[in-house]
Amino acid sequence: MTGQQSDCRADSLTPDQRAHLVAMTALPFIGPARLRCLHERPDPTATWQALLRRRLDAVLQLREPESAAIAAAAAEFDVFDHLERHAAGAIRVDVLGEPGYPEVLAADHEAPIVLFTRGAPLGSVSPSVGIVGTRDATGYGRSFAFDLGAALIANGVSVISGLALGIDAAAHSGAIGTLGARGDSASATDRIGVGSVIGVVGCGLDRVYPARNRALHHAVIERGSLISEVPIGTVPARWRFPARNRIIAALSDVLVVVESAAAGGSMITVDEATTRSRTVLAVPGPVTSSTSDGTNQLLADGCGPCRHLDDVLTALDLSPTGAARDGSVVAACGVTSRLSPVAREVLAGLEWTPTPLDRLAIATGRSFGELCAALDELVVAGLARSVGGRFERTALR
Amino acid sequence: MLASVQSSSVIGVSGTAVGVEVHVSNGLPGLTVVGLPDAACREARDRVRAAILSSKFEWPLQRITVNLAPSGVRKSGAGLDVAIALGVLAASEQLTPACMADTAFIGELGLDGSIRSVPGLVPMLSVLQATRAVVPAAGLGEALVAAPDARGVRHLRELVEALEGRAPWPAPDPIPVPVADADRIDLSEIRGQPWARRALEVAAAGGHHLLMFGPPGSGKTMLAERLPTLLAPLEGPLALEVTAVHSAAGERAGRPGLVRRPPFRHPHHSASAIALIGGGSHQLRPGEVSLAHGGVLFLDELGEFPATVLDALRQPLEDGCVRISRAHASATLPARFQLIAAMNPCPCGFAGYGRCRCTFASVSRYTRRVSGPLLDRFDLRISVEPPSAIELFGAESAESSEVIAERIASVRRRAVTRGVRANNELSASAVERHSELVGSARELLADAVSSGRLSARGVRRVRTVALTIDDLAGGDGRLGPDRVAEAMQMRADVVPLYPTMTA
Repeated sequence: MTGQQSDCRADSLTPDQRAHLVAMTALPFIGPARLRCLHERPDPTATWQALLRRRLDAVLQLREPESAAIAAAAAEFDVFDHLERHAAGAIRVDVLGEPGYPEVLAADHEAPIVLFTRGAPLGSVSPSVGIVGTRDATGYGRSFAFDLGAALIANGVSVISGLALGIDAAAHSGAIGTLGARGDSASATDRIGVGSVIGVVGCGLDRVYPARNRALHHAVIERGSLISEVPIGTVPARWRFPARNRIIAALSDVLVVVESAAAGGSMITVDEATTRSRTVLAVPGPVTSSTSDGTNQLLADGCGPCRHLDDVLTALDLSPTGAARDGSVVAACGVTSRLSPVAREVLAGLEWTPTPLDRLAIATGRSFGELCAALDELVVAGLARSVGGRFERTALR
Repeated sequence: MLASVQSSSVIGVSGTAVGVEVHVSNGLPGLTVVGLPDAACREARDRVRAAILSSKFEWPLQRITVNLAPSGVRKSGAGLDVAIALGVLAASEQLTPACMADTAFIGELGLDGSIRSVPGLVPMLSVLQATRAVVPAAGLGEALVAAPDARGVRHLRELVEALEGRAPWPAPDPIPVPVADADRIDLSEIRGQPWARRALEVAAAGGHHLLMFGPPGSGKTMLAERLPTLLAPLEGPLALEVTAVHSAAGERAGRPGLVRRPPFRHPHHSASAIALIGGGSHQLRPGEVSLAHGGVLFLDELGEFPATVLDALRQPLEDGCVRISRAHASATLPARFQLIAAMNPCPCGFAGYGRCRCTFASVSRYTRRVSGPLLDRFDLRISVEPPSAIELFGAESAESSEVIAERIASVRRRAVTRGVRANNELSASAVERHSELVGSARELLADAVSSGRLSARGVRRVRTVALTIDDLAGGDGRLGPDRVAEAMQMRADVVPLYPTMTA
């Protein structure tokens, strides 16, 4: 219904109308729901004028100060300059119903009215897996997310995540690492749709949030796609993240929850995925770990377990590899093939939380000289980083 | 009547020979001291009068003038008391001046005529022109370092009788046999923590300044206290220099012999800049940096020291000495010390260990307390991890200080062949001359520079530390990637470990 309506309207949008529609995303107090409401009105230019004159308060259920703020912001807004700044920042703008709008999202009942994209435009994403989880992840969770991200890409499955700290970052790091190892980065545009990396963020695409993920952020733009439903200049706000989660759910064929507290943000993504009849898999965790409360509850509620790559591949109706159980997913993907033997050995002993050199020396039995040289190699390769004299595993920074 | 007696005074850590001239003539009875005496020195007249009367001599009821020459140099302390008393006795013809010829007298008088020791005997005696010296018996052990044939006396009466030949010189106090340190500390008491031990060894071998950060109880203080056990005993002119500094500060308290064990100074973080650097209004007393000369200055809780106090350390760290200037005097005090510092990662101390109660803001504020220029002086910056239970209670015992000290001594010997006491003092060009980057070591450093991890200065320092590490391994100065990487890891950045980042 929505799709049809958009289709017939898309052709009729003049550049002027289009610019006004895109500009509406930048107005205060206009979230996805109100934007959808505005989008259903026939002429965006006229709608803009109506907002200026504060005639839509009842339709949008706006209170007095909100309506005033919208009108004030709209009065000062240069809609064409706004659109041009996106073009200047190499940000693609797609409006729901236009030919270039990704089909995978157009079919969704809560599709973003306007989609902003950096990097490769979204093609056919399927088969795709969303990997979500808590920001306060344990080493176990991050390690699993990293390996799963790497293995999925290696098997031609797209990896979708929210680019937050913790699980999100680990999953994308693994995925990006595999892309890099396969030397596919140059042809990202041609190849998009088969094992691509897609980051969905809740702020403007000119911003990096959280700042610690800067390198990962740029890597996703370079080798995959970074999408958002809000225009540049939008600051991260708490309420935008649940809205962002619905896009992750809409893009994913299967959603894997790696670690989550009982009432974590990942549970919102799970609800969104269930609404869309997506398969949800949960990674079993220790019953004593609070960061696995959510996933263990999901398992108790009857959701499928995700123990290794093959569980996900089966859920995607792909043929299992049968080789994923031995925990050497990453090694098989070739991320580490260029490392020296000592570095590979140190990598195996390296944890996802800052680990003291002492412990690494004991674990590997290497001298400090060898150990430090190996760690430096890993840091240069982007697989480890130093935190106040300790080392932790990471894929990119 | 005029009499002249030789004595000595001390400013900073250097002595000045002082001639005490006493003139007794008719006039209104009284005693005046001229020649820039400080308060303690001016009070000598009351002490001297009482001491002379208590020693059954006569106090001349005449006008007495005491001049301290050279009169342009400020004299401080009570060390001139004995010389003044003898001058008064000679000028009032109670003592033949001839028996004091070519002899210098140092000591403070008590009201009963007893002779007490004063600080600074070593620097005072080392500048004397007189061939003989008489010092307080309590300070004789200390004095013998600078004047091997010095005599020790306990009382003014005893001194006069010995000078006139009416009694023999009193026998020196038996020199106490040094008690063997039953509870000598040793590095083998540190269990586990191989990385921290390693860094301490490198620091000791190369004389590099070391900063340790870690939670309370992780053993930072214990490690630092054991650094002197790795260092070779002080030798030759350095030992004399150190002894002079400690004597000037009154730290020797008559103990015999030179300071052999490298000093370990551990000032509390409430110390003022003057206490640390030295100074004061009269004597220009040596501060902790000078007392640590030839040894170790340990600043525990570095983050708690006032910023001004810490920044005052930068000049001595650079120059190896402190120049103190006051309106009436100035002095250059030696201050070539090895700086060891310890700090916690955050105010509560447990950031990064899961129990931190600090806010993000307070953690970053705490790590910013120590200024960048000071941090840059630390060639070695390591995080000290608390030992695990297995390490603490395991039977495995670590290398003892003695074994490690031997390795360190050989590294120091190599440094001497390069013309310095420790690699730390090597100039950049000397480091390049004595080492060569081989294998991928050059790329490693280039990577670190281009990624902003190291500054140009950092590269030089890393190379110096790498050379020390190579020396410890008995290498030939060819620095491979493992040496350079290890040196780089020992220069960890002090970054805020936020409460959520747990190990």
